[in-house]
Amino acid sequence: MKKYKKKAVIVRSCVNVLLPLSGIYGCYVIFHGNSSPGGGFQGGVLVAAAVLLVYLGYGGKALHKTFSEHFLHSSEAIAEIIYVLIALLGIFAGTVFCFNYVFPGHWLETSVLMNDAVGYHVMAGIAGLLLLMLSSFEEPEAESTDKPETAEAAGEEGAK
Amino acid sequence: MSEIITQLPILSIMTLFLGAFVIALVGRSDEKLRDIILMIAAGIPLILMLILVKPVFFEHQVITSWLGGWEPVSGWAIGIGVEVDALSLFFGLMVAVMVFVVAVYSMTYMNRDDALQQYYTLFLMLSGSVMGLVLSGDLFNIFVMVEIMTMTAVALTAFRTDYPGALEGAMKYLVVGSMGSTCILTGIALLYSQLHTLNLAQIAAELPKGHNTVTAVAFAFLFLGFATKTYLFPFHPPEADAPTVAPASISVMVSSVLTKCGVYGIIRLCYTIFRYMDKTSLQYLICVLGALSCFICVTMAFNQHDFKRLLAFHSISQVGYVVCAIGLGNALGLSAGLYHALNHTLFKGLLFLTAGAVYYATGSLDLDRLGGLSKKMPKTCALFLIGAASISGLPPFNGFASKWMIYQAAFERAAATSNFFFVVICVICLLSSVLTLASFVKVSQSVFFGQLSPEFERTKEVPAAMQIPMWFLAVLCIVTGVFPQAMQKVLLAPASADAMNSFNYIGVMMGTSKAAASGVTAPPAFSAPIIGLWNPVAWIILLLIVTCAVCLVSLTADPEKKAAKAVIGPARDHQPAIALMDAKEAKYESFFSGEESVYSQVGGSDLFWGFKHNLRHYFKTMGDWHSGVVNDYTLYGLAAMSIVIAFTLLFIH
Repeated sequence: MKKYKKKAVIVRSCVNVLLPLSGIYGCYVIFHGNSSPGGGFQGGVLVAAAVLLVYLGYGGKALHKTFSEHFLHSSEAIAEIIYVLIALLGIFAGTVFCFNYVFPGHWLETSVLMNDAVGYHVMAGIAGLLLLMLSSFEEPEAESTDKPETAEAAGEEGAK
Repeated sequence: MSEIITQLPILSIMTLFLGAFVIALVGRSDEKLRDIILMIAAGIPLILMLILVKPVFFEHQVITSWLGGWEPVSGWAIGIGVEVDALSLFFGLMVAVMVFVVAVYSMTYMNRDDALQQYYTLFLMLSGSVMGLVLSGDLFNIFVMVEIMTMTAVALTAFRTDYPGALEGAMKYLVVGSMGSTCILTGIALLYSQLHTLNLAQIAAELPKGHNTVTAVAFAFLFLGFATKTYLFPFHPPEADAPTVAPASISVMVSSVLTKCGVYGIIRLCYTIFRYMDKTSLQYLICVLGALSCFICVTMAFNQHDFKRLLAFHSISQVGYVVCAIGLGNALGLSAGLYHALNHTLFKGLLFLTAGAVYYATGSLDLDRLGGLSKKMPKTCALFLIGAASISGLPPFNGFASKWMIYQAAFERAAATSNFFFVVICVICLLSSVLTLASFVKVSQSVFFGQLSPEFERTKEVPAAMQIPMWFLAVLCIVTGVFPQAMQKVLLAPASADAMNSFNYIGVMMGTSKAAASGVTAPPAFSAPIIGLWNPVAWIILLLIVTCAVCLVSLTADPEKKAAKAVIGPARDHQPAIALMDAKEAKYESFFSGEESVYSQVGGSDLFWGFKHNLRHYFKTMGDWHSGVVNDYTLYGLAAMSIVIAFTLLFIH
């Protein structure tokens, strides 16, 4: 704990509570996008809010220890590729583009998978954007005296 | 439904997007792999478009597909449709060719920059969005593609952030481009509120019954949106800025491909969906906008000191031609407009690529500093001259054929309606063509001919990998110019027939009964209009004879005179010219040596000084008008919007 700034204890405590919530709630919205309000975009943004929470509670240094910009960027590309490939499966199967080919009628059908791909993409994209924006007004140096376990644990939860 | 040919348009769009994403994933580490992916992603759409040529242009089919197999239910489109008729494919082919050429060119041209995986990702997304725009059959998808197109083009404009003015140019482009996107979105919202559909074919089918004031305003908004994307006057200033500061490969995309999307939108809107082209007031509006862009931008180009900025202004001027021809409202005019759109894509692409080659070799695009590069870069010079001859409308290059067709269409229109207005339009176009030639004389003088500046002594010709795409475009420029009759028969006549045939457009997508019930009638059988009585072969023979004569004269010239001429050449490496003289002439040295020859290139801005002096008030007004302040440009855009909307409500509705 001592590794990061001492003063914002209240904020950090709140963040500790909210971080898992933000991740789980966001994932819930993504996975239930096909049957309830919400969907990939909204849920992805909710999960990406973890970046902001980590920044508020633990500062810019923890942010860069927790999230890798390169990883987020690759995730974004992977999500896009998954989306297009699922849509293209219809053509490869001899029907039309975007055809409901994967498990039709099942809870895991094409549209659900595509929705999940959108969620993954938005999550990685918005998180990457926030990371870029927040790094522009970073404090010059953060106090570092203690081990960063808590921040990393919280951050991983958010990045899921 | 499941025929593979119906999926080819979607595959060609998706290949580009997929290529972009894969490059974003793996392009960072492996350059060779990135280039291979780029070639595959840019090559497959070209092949797919070429496969579609046979069924669409020769067998007159319309390729349609519903995404996810969601076909219309009781006459209402519930899914997203893709409809590729000859007009769409005409533009799709153009886009595919240019994307491939630019991709090949970029591999060498951009090799001095870093962060290239981002460049290629954005470039392929831009290409995919343009492709999607011209092949889509759904209005909202068109809007989405317009948005992707604008945003990626803005990002690519600012790609070389260290280039002077790059961020500023991108900013202007972003503001004015967003105005256009907003207009399109507003138009879509209004149209949807009235007709409850977004499918182009169904909108066309519903409009005869559902036509009211709101749809007229929606038409005005959509027209304005596409006019912004075409960079018509007065939306043109950002188009002049963006290609100037972008890398040359992106200048090609912005000024020869993206403008065509707007042209496609205007044709689709006015001819197929709203079918307003038989209204004389709309013909006036489009022709006046086109003629103003044509004339004002060519005079603005006259004054420029930057190679690419000059080309960018010419680009708007040439698109003005296209729009003029579309505005004539007859079949020949539409064919001429399509023909000039194709030709403009080719020759403007070629010219921007040569500008890029000059920048690659010298690091400068300043017309006042460059000069005499024809000795150092003879091939680029030849390519530039082909492009310049095409854009100025010299036979036998393609610009001549299409401009001739535009004049002919304008006069036919004037004769058919005994309306003097179309003659005036034709004369403005002719005048602009003359000014185009003049300003290209200026460019060739101040870049390729004249004296070589000592600064550029060590300039080398660009690598072959950059020349091949340029030669490809140059050959296309000549081929499309030499066979205008074949072009008309194979490409232009089917494309313009399909653009005017709303009945078929609705019938193929929504079923013939729907088309019959909508009140849209099939147009009379389309006969390809005959174009001008000129024989390109005769012109080629004349050109060959003149070339031979010039060669003969220069070869048989007196060698002594040639030697004397060499002495007057520029001083190399700051040695006095006298050192080059041989002993025979050295004895006259005290009488004839005079002063040491110095570098005294006539700057590009001084070439037509008399003309510019006489018109100084006009040029001053125009210079003040193009203030470079984005607020001003937004105001011009708003003023144009108000005028067009008022005009639509008063005269077209």
